[in-house]
Amino acid sequence: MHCLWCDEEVVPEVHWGNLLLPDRITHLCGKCEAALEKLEGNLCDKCGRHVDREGETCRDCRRWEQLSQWEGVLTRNRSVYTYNGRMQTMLAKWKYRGDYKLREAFEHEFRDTFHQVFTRDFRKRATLVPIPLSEERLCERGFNQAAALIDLLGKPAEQLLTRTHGEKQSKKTRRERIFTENPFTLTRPTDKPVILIDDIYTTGTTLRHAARTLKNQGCPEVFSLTLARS
Amino acid sequence: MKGNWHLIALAMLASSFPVFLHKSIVVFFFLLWITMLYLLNRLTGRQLLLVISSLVLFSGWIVFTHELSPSPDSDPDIIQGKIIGSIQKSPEKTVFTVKDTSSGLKTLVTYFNNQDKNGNSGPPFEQLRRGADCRIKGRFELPPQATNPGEFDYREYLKSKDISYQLILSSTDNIDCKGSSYLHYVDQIRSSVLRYNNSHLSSFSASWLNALLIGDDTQLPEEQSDRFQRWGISHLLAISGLHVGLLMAIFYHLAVKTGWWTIEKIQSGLIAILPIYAILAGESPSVWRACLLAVLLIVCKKLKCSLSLTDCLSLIFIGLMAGNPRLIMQTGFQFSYLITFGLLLSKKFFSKSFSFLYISLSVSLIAQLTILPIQLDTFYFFQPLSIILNLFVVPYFTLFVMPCLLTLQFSVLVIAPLSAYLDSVFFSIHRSMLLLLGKLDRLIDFSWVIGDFPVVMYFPYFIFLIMFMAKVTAERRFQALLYGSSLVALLVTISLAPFFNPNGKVTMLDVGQGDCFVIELPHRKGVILIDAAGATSADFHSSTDKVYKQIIKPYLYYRGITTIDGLFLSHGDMDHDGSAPYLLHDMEVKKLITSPYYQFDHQLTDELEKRGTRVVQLNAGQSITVGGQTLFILSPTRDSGNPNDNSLVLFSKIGGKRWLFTGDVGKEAEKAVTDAYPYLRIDVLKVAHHGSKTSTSKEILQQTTPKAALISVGKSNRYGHPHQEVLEKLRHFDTSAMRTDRQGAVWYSFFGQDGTFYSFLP
Repeated sequence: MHCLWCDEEVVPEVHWGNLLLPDRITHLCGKCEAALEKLEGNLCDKCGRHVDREGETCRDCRRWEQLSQWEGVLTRNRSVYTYNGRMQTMLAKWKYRGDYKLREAFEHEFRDTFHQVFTRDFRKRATLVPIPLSEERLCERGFNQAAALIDLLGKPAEQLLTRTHGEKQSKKTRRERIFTENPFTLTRPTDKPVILIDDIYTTGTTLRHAARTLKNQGCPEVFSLTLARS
Repeated sequence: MKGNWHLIALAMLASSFPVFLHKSIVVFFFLLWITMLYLLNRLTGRQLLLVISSLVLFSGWIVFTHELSPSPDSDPDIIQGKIIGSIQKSPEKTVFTVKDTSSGLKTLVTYFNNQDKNGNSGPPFEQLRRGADCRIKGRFELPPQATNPGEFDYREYLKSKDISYQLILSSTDNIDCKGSSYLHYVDQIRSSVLRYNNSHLSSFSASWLNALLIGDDTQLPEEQSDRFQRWGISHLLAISGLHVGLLMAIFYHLAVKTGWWTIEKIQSGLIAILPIYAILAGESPSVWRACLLAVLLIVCKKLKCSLSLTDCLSLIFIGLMAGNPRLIMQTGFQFSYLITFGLLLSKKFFSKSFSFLYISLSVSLIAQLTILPIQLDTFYFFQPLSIILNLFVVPYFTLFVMPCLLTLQFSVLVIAPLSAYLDSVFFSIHRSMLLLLGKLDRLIDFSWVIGDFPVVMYFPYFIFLIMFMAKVTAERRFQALLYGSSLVALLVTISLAPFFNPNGKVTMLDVGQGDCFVIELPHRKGVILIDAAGATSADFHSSTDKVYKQIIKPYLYYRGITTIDGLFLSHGDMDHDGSAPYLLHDMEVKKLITSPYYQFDHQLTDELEKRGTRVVQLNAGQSITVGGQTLFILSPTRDSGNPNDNSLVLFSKIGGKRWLFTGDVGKEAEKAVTDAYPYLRIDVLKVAHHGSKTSTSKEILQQTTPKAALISVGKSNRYGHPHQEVLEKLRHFDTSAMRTDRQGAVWYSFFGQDGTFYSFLP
């Protein structure tokens, strides 16, 4: 097996601890694995970024919740990794340069977080909805990264939303992002709770727009799970 | 498969269980485990397929090689074949293996050097060379097999070396050999080095040098190898990875530091030298394992192929096993692989940089724990303190003995004057160390006799061990403690099992021409021995400990017995009491019971005094209760002047049957018993005097009406026992006879008042 990132050969080493139950098949070598930062410890109750004290809500989230039109739209977000330098380059290679297979590098951790955050019962009830790309963007990239992540979980993705074409999110300022028009339209309403899946949570605008679109048409509750949190 | 080759090796191991140990369930569990790993996403589909197909393929291969039926050729008196392996010469005998050209079966040929009538001790054995084509006349026979529970099985041992027959060469005229292979020159170097060492050094230093560097341990005194074995440090006497590693390190540093050679050249040099050294050092499984592992590692490094250590070890295991699947039954092979595998698994644990002392202790403990089940399966006991002993002895051997011997070897071959000095240094230091070890051995012998380790217990044992080590490595102290205690609890359970066992057992051991009966009462309430046959030495005057060491002691240890509540000695013949002194020496014998006319020899008296054993002398009409079991003495009533007729005759009810043990009494003494007890009826008769016609009269059979008769008698003994007349009498009275010369050990296993007779051989 070769590392998906640096292509170094990965030779699993047997020791007493993994003799009976071998380690999971890894896609990253030890070094590259270590270069990724998992979000653990004290996390913001709302958006899942690092905070100082347990159970605290971060400043950004408090601001969101103060605005009446956004209050309680998104129940909670959780992310797997910090959006650090390595994550940034990995996501760029995956998304923009079409290294589709690279998503396997995140498989175990993404699945683990999914299982840790949501109870078995909730996982059964909830619908997994990928944040859609506009048709032009999808054409450009060849795949929707959010749908690809749902695929890693081995669950069906429900395409409940579509997106009208606009400027790239990453080219906008925070202010511009927060006050943009809602780019999403609903294809069909749902009365089940929804878990939105996306690759990255930056300001949370996209996810909130999507959540509001769903909630306006009768969806009871919206959570989100993203690969990275900047 | 990289990093997972051990799974293939384990598949091979699992597939050997059904054939060699009749445990098919192992394969089932292995498949279950592997499939589970696949389902849990720990193995890819390709890996699963590879493991399963290697399991199937290797099972087929084992069955195929196993079924290679050993039927002798049409003319069993002549073998035409090639000498394989080296020729082992010792002062007493010459031993070599011949592979039959047509059938491919191997025969071990032994020639006793001093049996030539002309007194020619140096036979013209120059044509005996590795690879020579030979034509040998002689009778080839199956090697002797074990006939008692717990006994070492020579036939199985030779089979594990792929040898099916043995042949005793009676004269050098009966062998004709031609040619040789290239490897013969290695043998020549070996034997000349051995000879050279023997003639140029003190015999003490030469014996250690030859054992530790050249792999010839025949010169080491048996007492030493016994002691090393008892303390679980016999790995130091065999050339192993330790030695090979040390040799390599010294060779490497000498060459690099002096600038003779480049590292690349040294590596190539080692690849060429190591296999030759393996042959030179006697080709034991541990030497091959160590040398091949080193070669494979160097080759991997040269080819820049990243194989892990466990992979390399597994690949060598796979290669050697494919060559001869029976290797797995060799204790040396098992020890060597288990220890190495266990230490490689601990690499992560050792990498945490502890103190030297802690690491040495851990190495010693891990090595001891990984081989413990096999140690118990082979010797039925282990020495818990050997872990601590290893701590001192291993560094002593690594840092002093080996370097010293290497220098000695070098100097004796190159700088002769230095060797005499080194010889004396080694002699004085090593001898005092051995003396110290001997003292320790006598002072703190806490060997723990556990008894037979059931094969099914291997699984919980190894699972506990693996979990224990995993938790220790992960520094989960509490869980580690939990698994560690489970491990100890398992051992305690096995050693306490007899105390919970409601079954009792009466065993007639096959001690050849002699008697030894072991009565094990239910719940281990008592262990009674009636007679302990000894072996007569070659001159027929004294006894040796051969029977004791090879049959009685292994049996008692196998059953986890170290305390004997009552030892009855029927009379003073070697074939009934010859092993008594050794028994008294090794075990705790609470009572020794004899007739008043028993003559104690000085060896027995010495041991009795030393151990302070109580001696009870009983007359006819008296009885004694041992562990709740009452035995009645029916004879002797008077001193008849003949030791045989003075034999104790014992009556007891055991397991719902009435037993009569008669020692060696003759017809007259029998008559005295039947006259004194006219209403005596019995179920089982120990036939007196091994079935001699001077005993077992018609009258005793008629009156006591035994249903079963036990005859303890040697195979084709020189007295013609058991006598045809006796056998016919038994048949006439419908008494079924069971005899050790045909059935091996015979035992009656009972529960309450019911029981069944079993025999060791079918």
